[in-house]
Amino acid sequence: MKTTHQVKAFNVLLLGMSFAGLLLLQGCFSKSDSNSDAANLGKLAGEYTATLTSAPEVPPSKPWLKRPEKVIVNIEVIEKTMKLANGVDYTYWTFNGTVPGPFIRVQEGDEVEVHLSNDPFNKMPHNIDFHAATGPGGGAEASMTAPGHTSVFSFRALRSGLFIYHCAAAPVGMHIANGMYGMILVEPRGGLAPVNKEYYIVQSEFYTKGANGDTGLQEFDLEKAIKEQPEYVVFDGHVGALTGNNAMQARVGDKVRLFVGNAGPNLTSSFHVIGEIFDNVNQEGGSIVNHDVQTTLIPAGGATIVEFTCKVPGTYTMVDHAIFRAFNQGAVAQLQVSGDENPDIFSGKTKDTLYFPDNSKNTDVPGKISQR
Amino acid sequence: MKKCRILLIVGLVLLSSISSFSQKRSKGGDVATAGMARIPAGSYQPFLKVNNQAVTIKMHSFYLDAHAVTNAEFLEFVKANPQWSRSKVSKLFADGNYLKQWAGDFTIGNDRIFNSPVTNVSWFAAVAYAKWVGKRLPTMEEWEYAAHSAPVNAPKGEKLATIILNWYSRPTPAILPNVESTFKNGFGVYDMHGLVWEWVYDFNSVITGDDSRSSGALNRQLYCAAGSQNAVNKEDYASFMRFAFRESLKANYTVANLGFRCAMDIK
Amino acid sequence: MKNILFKILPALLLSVSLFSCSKNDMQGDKGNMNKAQKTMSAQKESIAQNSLYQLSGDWTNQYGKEVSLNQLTGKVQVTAMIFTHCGYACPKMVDNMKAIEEKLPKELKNKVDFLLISFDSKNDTSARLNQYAAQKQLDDSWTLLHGSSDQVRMLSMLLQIQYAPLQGGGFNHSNAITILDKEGGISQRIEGLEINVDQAVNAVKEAVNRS
Repeated sequence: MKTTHQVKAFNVLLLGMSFAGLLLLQGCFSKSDSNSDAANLGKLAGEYTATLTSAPEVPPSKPWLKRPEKVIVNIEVIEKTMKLANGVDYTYWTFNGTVPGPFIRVQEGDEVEVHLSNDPFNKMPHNIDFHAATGPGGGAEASMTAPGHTSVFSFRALRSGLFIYHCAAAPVGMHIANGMYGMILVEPRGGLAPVNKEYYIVQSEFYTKGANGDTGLQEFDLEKAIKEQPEYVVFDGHVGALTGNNAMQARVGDKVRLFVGNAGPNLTSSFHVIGEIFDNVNQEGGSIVNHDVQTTLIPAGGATIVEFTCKVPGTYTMVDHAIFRAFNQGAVAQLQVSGDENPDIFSGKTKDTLYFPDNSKNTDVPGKISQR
Repeated sequence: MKKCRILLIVGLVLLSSISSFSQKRSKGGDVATAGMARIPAGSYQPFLKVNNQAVTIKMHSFYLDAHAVTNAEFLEFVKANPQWSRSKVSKLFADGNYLKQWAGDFTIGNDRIFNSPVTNVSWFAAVAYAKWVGKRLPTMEEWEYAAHSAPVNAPKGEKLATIILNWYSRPTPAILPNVESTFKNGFGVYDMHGLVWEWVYDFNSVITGDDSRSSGALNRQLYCAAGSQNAVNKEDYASFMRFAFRESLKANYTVANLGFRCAMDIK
Repeated sequence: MKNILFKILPALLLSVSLFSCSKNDMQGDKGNMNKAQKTMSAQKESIAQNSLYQLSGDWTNQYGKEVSLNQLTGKVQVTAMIFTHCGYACPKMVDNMKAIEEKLPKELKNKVDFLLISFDSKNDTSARLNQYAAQKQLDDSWTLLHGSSDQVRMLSMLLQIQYAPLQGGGFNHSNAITILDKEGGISQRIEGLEINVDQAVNAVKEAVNRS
């Protein structure tokens, strides 16, 4: 008797679940319908050259047009030596001379025409794989470029979201480990809601011959990369790229939106802003929005959009909450929030008194064991 | 321990005497092979598998230039064959950067690069030069075989792979060093790694597709290939880079750090 | 197989002078042209600069006759590199070319020819090519060429075809049909085996109208 009841309950549950599943499925379908509408590959309204910014800056959003446009994106691959940490140099392979590469901002349905140039003095052929592209290799084959040449290819930004791009020339791991990544934002129809501040952050690891802190020009260490044992885990390509004088800025009351990517090459990020709770998180950079999140996972080769409101002034430190990466390997960034205090939300320290533990209540005090 | 050391010294002496012997012979005897090293017959394991299996290839003996062709040497060729001068060369055979480092059609204009390897030369130009001097370009197999020999004058304990990776991770200097300025290998050949990339005769024979991540799943639409060409050793990053570089080329391309050297059959 | 290749390489290497282009011939009657014609001739020159027919040297056709590429001037050539013992891709490519031929409008028939070049210098003799042409029912508008392995390598570079001889005979190769204009310049490349014949015919039309 009892068992039948259980079975019945189970059946009802199952039915309910499949119904919900059906609803979900329908939701999915209508979503992809709207996507194919957006990508209704009609005539392009016009053509312009994308404004590109280097981290942590984000290009301004463009007014939303009814028809998609052709967006020309010019990227040059430059191999150059830059500072990785204090006293530590590294030969980076870069898109446009910075790590991460430029932030690209387009709108759903736009045709993105990529002009990838490889500096004549570079040693390596390079290419670019856009996670925002639909097509073989995300453009990797189409953009394979020898030093001293330029490749042109284009793709439709069919889906909105925040996407990583990276070099995929052989050996892929090394091209990523040396700094060849960046992000492209494909704004959904109608654009993102306006906020006060937007910033661009990419987490990544560096595998150097020398240990963390060893000075001088450091070379890439293949064995450490294969073992996934980085010497540095950083935000925006360098230790201290976003701390101290380089910290991001906001004011009390500002809505802040962070475009956060994880280039890897190996580690998954547990992204956390100390002292903030995310109002909104676009999970994995896609269209599902979660609320009231403390720490969000960002897979290697993935991204997320987080939003929060600055309510109290101070320094807000961002970390990979796999915490030894933050305080031993460099995965720290800072947001300086200026403005008026709000003790109703956060009091600051209001009291500091002496503390005398009450020994009589504490049965675990070692001296008492003998009495038992 | 002592025995080992003695053996090592004997080995080194033997090696150096062999290489100097072959050099002397080529200088004294056959003018055509002056400046060339005789690469002995042997076998080696190529980077790419054949039909998904690592193979060992038997190699014949051949001559290979001890150093890459220099700007000064290439100038002689251009003077004798003006159709290969910068202003005359057909765009079909060399792109717009052909001999860009020179001051003019028949002038190098910078004596610091006289003995640097000539770069910004196309495959067609390299083939024509080789023909002019009575030689040919080495095949990819020949080049790879000659290049797998370890350096004899490398810093102690430095592996060939490390030397190569270190070179790859540094941008090209504005003035390329002279030939014979890096390592000499066990075959008596200089600079196979660490100076410039080099053309090989059949560089367009590697069929892996441009996207290294899809190797093993070759597009049957685009390629008629019996077996996918996978890497034997996935950690051989140096070879990955060399093969990726070759695949990014077309025969009329000229690149600032791409030169060549010649080979010759043993008659 | 490869050893044989190495041995015959130097003997077969193309002479340096082969590369000199016959630009002077092209410029011959430049004297009295109006402006429009001059622009035309400027275009022509730039096409000639890209002409694959700058590559001289004699090939042998399926009738055993020696021909130079330059003799192909004047007609659009629908071109592919194949070898006759290929079991899969090459027959398909030839079939694709035949499908293009069948769909060509009448007025284009005498302006377009078809060209097959063999990778297989050893086995694809002119006799074998003749046999293959018969077997595949290829008419006189088709030219099948045999050349030395060096000539083939050089042409593969210009047509951007990758290929490698295999140990047991046969070849790995990339699959592409190249449409050459009347001057021998590359007008379009159609990659892959599943081609859209109508689009290909349009590409041929374009090449006919180009020069």
